[in-house]
Order: sequence, then C-alpha cells, then structure tokens
Amino acid sequence: MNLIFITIDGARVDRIVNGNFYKKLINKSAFFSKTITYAPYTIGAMHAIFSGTYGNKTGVDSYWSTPDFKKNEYKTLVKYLHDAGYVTIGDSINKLILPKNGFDELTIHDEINDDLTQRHLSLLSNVEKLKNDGKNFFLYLHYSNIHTGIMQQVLKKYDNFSKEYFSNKNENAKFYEILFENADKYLETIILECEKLCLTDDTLIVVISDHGISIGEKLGERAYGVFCYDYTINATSLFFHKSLSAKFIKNQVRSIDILPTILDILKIPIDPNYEKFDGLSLIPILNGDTTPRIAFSQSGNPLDSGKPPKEPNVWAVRTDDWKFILNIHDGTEELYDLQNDPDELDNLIDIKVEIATRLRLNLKELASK
Amino acid sequence: MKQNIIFLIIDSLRSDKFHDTSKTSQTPTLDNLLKNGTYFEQTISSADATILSWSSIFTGKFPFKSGIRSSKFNKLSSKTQTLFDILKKQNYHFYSYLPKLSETVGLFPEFENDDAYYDFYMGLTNGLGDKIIKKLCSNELKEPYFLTIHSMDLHDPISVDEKFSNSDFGENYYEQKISELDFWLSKITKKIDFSNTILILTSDHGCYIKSIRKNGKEINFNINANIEKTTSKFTKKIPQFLHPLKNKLFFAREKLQINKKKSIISKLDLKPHEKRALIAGRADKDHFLFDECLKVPLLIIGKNLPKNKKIPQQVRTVDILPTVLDLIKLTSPLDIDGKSLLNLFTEKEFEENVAYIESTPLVLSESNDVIGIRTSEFKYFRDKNNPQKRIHLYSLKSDPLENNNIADVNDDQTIKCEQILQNIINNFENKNAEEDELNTEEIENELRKLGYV
Repeated sequence: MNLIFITIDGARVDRIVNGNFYKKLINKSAFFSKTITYAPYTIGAMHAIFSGTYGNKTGVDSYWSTPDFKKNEYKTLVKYLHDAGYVTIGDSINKLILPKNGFDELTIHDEINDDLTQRHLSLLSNVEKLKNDGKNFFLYLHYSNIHTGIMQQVLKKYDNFSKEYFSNKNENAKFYEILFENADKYLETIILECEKLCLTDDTLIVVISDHGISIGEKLGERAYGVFCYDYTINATSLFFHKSLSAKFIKNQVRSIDILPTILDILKIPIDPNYEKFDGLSLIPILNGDTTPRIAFSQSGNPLDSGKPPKEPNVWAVRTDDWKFILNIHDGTEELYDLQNDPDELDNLIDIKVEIATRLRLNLKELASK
Repeated sequence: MKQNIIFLIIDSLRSDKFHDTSKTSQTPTLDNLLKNGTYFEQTISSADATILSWSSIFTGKFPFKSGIRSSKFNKLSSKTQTLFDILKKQNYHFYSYLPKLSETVGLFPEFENDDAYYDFYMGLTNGLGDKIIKKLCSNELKEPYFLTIHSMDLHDPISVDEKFSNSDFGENYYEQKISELDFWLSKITKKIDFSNTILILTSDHGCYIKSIRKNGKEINFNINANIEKTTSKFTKKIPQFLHPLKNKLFFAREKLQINKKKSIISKLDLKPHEKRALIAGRADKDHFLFDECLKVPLLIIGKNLPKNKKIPQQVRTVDILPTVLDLIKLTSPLDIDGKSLLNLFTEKEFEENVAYIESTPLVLSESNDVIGIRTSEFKYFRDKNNPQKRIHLYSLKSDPLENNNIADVNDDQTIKCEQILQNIINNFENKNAEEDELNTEEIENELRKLGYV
C-alpha cells in the first residue's frame, strides 16, 4: 500500500469539523478530533509526528533544534518507508520542518509565490507514474498557505501583546475563515485528483493538522507556539482508506501515535535497532479500546525577546478531562477542567490540589529525557 | 552488578608534575595510587581549557564534533551521545561535585545529589574534601554509580594552605598545592572500595607554571589568590550595564601586568618555554598549544586491572570514554574518535593514534586561535582559520620542551602534518554537509523566512 501524507499547517479543529470538504472526508475516514500535538508549532510538531516520539527525547524541542534530531536513535516515518522499498518524495515549506533522513527527493516551496495546488497536482501525476511502474511510493504534501496568511497579516503586523489584535477577535476569526476555506478547497482538489488517478484504492491517505492557531483567545499569543492551550495543541488526524471503517473518535490521542498507526496499517514491523516510540498505534482505539492516553506538550514562549527561546519554557500534560501547565519561565502553574471549562479560563491550581499533584508527577515523568 | 566508577578530574594538573623526576612536591598518596594502577605517561588532552576538554572526555569525540563550539561556546549538541547517556541505559546513578556553571554546557546528566555543583572557589581544603568524604561514607550512593569530581584547586588563582606553603612541599606554589591535594586524596581514596569501584584520575588540561628558579632565585609571577577572590566578589556585584567598562579595565590591567613582566624578563637569559610560562596571561590574544597545557596524567585503578604499570605510548583523553565502556563490558558508539586502551593493559599490539588539538578562544574578546595535531614524534599547530599563518612544528623527541620551531626548515613534515589535520577536519565536514547541518545563523535565517524571528 502507498502513502500520501498531507499536512494542513495551522488548521483549527473547530473549522476542520465544519469544513465543506473536510466534513465529507471525515465521514468516510477514521478521524481523531483530539489529536494532541507535542508542540504547537510546525518544527517541533512534525519531528514528533515523524518519529513517533516527543521532542524532549529526539532532540527537537524548540524552533532552533532541527539539526539536533537524533536520527541514529529514532527511525522516522520516511526512513521506515525508504527501507521498505518505497520511493519517498516530499514538498515542504522550509528545510527546518522535517527530518530529511530517508527522503529520495524533498523539495521546498516558496510559500508566497508558488501555487501549491498546481505544484502538488503535478507531484500526484509523478507518483501515478511510479505506481504504474509497479513501485510503492510515499508522498508528503505540506499545505502552508494558512501559515502564509498568518505570517503576512498577523505575525508581521502585531506582537503578542498588540491591543489592536486582541480587541478584534471577530475580525481575526473572519480572516482565519478565509484562509481555512482556501485550505479546504485545496484538500478537495487533491483528494478528488487522487480518486481520479485511481490512487485511493491502494494508497493510505493521512491528513493531519500540525497545530491550531489563535484568533486572539489569550493575550500573549497572537498566533501559536507560545502557550499550550487547546486552540493550538488540539490538532487532528485522519486516515482514509477503504480497509478502515469510518469512525469519528472524540477520545484524546496524541500526534506521536500517528507513525505507529501508519506502520500498523502498512504492516511494516518496528525496527528493534532504534529507540522505542513514545506513541502507540490507534488501531486498537478504532476497534473499541477506550484506554485513556495521556498527552505531553511543550512550547516556547518568546516573552518579550522577539525570538522563540532555544529551550521549551511552557510544558503541559493533558488527559481527556484535565490539563496541567507548568510555565518554566516564571514557575507558575495552571490547571483546567476541560469538560466544564473548554476555553481554559478558570485556573483551578489552588482548588483541585490532588489532581494537580497527580498531573505534576505525570509531567515530571514525561519531561524527563 | 556493574562496577561503580569514580571519575576524578584535577583541573590544570600537568603530567610532569604528577609523576616525573622533575617534580618537587610530596605525594605519598599519588605514589601509592601509581603502584596500584595503570598509568598512561603520555596522555594528550584535546584542548587547553576545561569546557572543550570535557566535551572530548565525555563524548569520545574531538571538541569540534560535539556541538560545544569553541568559537561560540554553544551547548553540547543534543544528538551527541555522552558517556552519561550510555551509562543511563545501564541504570547507572549519577552524582557529582562540579564547579558551578558546569550545568550550562548541556554535557552533564541530572545528578542525584543536591550538592552536585559547588562554588568556583571551594577547594578540597575549604569544604569540598569533607563533602566528598561524607558522601562516600554515607549510604546515599545507589549502585552502580558514576561519581564525577572536578577539583579546581590547581586552577589559577592558586591559594596554598599555610601548612603546605614552604619549600618542604615543593619549590613553587603549584607544587606545594599538589602536596596539599595529595593529603586530601589520601583521605578520599581511603573511603573507596576498590573491590567494586574503578577510579579514573586525570586532568582536563595542563597550565603554565608562572614561577621558575633562575640562578638559585625564584621568579614568581603567580596571581595572588586572595586579591583575586576579593576582586571577583566585588565584580560580581557590578550591574550589567557596567560590564563593558569592567571588561575594559580587566584587559587594561592585564596589559599593564604583561608589560611589567616583559620588562623583568628582558633582563634574564631564559629559554622559550620559561619565557612563555612567565609571560602567559589570561587576556593573551595569541594562543598556542604547547605540551605544558596539553599533557595530562591518566591513571586507572580497579579490581583485576594491572598494578604498577606505566604505559609510555601516546594516548588521548578522547580514548577515555571507550576505555571506560570496555572496562565495564559495554560497546562503544561507532562514530567516536577515541579508541579503547584495553589492549595496552594486556600488552597486545597498539597502534598510536594522532591527537587532534585545539586552543580555546577568549570569551570576552577575539583571540588568535590554533588547531593542530600531536604524535609522539611531532607537534604541529597553526592558525585556526589560515593554514599559512602562525605555523609551529616541534620535534618532540629531540626538543621535548618545544623550544625550537622547525616549521621553516622542515617543509616536508609540515605538509605531512597539515594533511593529517585536513583529513581529520574534512572527514567530519563532508559527513556534516551530507547531513545538511545548519548553524545558529542559518537557522535564524530560516526562522526569519517563516516569520518567527
């Protein structure tokens, strides 16, 4: 079976579940609406996804640490497929985003000037030829135009404390809506083309969002990669293939579970010569397993420096019901009841002491390298 | 059960002052340890200062490969595996006594003792010795353990305890301090159970001893430790915005002192190695890589290891990591530069390995740094950025004190050494290029493109 892996960079879960085309695709797929990302920014998020392991272990736990990826210790999705004889091709937004080990060809697009839809349609045509030549392929497509819009209209115009931005939440939401609609159209074009080229029969299509994006929910974070609130760490994952039953899973899973799931579906054995994944296959969940999975996230609050920090300074642990956040930069802690307070407005750290103690221990354990 | 390991680094300890006919210190403990272990007489550190040297010792790689870059003092690259990473997988417990700031280089693991880092000026006599002894006597060390001790006692400024401050204990302050250290090592080593513990005693680098005897008279340019400590305490309180001024004053003071020293030295008939020892200052722009700063002791003691054995061949501090792993029957990573010294214990064939060497840049200002190689026959180093500048070549067999630079009269050997050096650097750079490694500046440019900087 081949693999097409599509990242919709910066897609928010609340828009995904209501997206015109997204909705249709969700109805035909195994969809995990609470796929908690390790890092609410693309570099950290994608390295964790591609290695099935949290960045505090792989070395990529900040915007700056791409070269630190321990490729000899953690086998990536691409390397697995490459070693299994797949031709591995990808198109990404920037050379820092992915561990490149195992790619036969990894191109970097110009997010401002390139037409991503046309570019990726052309890549689909290339992999169709590979398929016709009897070769297995892996194709990675990175849709980056939500990021492009946010970069041009938010990151470059405002800082994390701009009054003008945070007092215009409705305007921010409208702007984001436009960006998301374009992403939804892109996805529709790509999936329909896959069907037209008869790729879907023997190709697993995985569509993920790497992280969400703020529309001004919390002062101090105009976009993402600062805090660990749900509007950025609640990402999604979708697995589309006829062998998988369509299911909408609301239980919490982790983005590090994506790689083990793909290997499970493609029946590629785990390589014992590398470190074990932190993640677990999601197939048991699709088969009814409801064992809770705890999620660990780390972000990098630039504070007033204008640059992301070199080490994560906001750590969080999340269960289906609770979230505990430790702000390393000032030593403060936060605790939220996610069932009753999904917007994370009411910090219960001094009230729910026992829960905080338990989660604090969980966090300590997960954060140890 | 794996054996415990005590890794004792005595900062700035030179091999010729550890075990050599020229030493004048009183060292009954060291002499006894030598009788009970295997001593490597010609051990070469990869660098002339602590951080780069540590990076080599604890990764088994030459400093420029570890991510701790001498030019920017970057942290250890997180993909570089350390001795601690390997031992952690074998369930070793880590304890340490390291000078404060050691934690900033990203080299060391999380230590289990609360007092893992001590104040820079704490020596064995004024508290550190008692702390170590107390720890060794306690039941707090969970086995197997790896205890790292880094003593700063011999680091400038040296302060000798009154009891040892006379010529009975050494002809200069440095050797007197070694006698004092020996007294404490006696107390510490008595607490070690050698039936289940390997002791590794070494140093991170050597140093210039700023005191020589000429015509029966001592010329002593040693820094006064008490003045230094007081100055340090005072300068720590200086607000950040005045630091440029503080640094300016430091360099001006150093310059003044060098000029004063030069004037005294010009009246004396001194050999090059004596001159450079006396004149060396902390703010010197031109750096060198002479043996007094690179040749360190290496002594290994443990159950079933050879006793009273002295190994004359050149070995390197990068060889310590694979040797330690070999001693506890673990395999070394493939990508390291060090080679296990176990064959030397058993007198099997051992091919000498070239030592890569690197000087450590100044932190507060630019310095002219050098890189080079050392074999048991030759020492070669030259400007770090330009192979044609500041070329030094010494024949170590005929000129062990490195007084005569023969680079100009021995072109063939110079070219040969440069080729060996190029091979070491290029092999790494080519491999690196394949991996598309980015430096901090390049990463920042990429992050700028993404709108994050």
